[in-house]
Amino acid sequence: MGKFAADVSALVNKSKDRIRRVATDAIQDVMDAAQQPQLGITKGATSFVVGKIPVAEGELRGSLRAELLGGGAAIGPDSYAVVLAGYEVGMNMKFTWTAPHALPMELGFTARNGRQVPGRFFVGANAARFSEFVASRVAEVNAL
Amino acid sequence: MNEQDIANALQQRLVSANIAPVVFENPNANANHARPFLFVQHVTTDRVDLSLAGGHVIARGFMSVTAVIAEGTFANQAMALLDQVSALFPKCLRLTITGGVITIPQPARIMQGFQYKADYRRGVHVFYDASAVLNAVIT
Repeated sequence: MGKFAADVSALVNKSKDRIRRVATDAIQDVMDAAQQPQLGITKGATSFVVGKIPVAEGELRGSLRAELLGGGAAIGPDSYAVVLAGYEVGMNMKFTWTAPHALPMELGFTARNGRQVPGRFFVGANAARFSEFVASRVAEVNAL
Repeated sequence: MNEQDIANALQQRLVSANIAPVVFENPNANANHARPFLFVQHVTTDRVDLSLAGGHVIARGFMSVTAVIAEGTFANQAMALLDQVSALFPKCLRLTITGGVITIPQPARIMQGFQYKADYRRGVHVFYDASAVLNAVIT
């Protein structure tokens, strides 16, 4: 291979590495934020913030199933980090909180007394920040 | 341009359409409402200012609208309500607010429905980008 071709090949590989790094870091930022715990109301908390996962017994946080479509899957609070290690650009990933109360906690629900309990949006609020995380990681990679 | 103006503009558009009774997060969330109704929550996700001089804030987030229908009724009732909500906020819709403009950057996203206690609930996220009017910054 001539020097020019070798240089182009090296540049392409370097770009691929940088794209992969931005993608995995930004996805991990979303998941880190989504799995950021806050004390559940049933455990004595008097308030909550949107964008953090409520933790009483840890069942919801621990119910996370991370799957690399066509690849492996893992279950547990840190499962996304395990699966992200095998991620290559172009692959699809799926993250599922499998606890039965995951959607009520995300979007809100009706309490026994009829009160509307607001959602925590631990998934939606952080997924919506993906482009913000990407921009931050791109700036980080460009600074290298 | 503040977050209250953004929430008010989006929620007023929803209420004016009279799709179903609207229940808000704090003022009337404690009552036991007859089904169906729409439960509205305002979720902020990002607030940035990329201008050197400041004063050009871009606020992002979404309005979450959950259709709550009674247990034992067909779930497509919730879907029909959310389709109407989605149609109210098409991509590129612009709403003028004090000191800025709200733009709907993408079609509303209807979420998975679920049954919980005596409700069937299905949500839609209406995403927004709100930016301060640029000429107000320049002048």
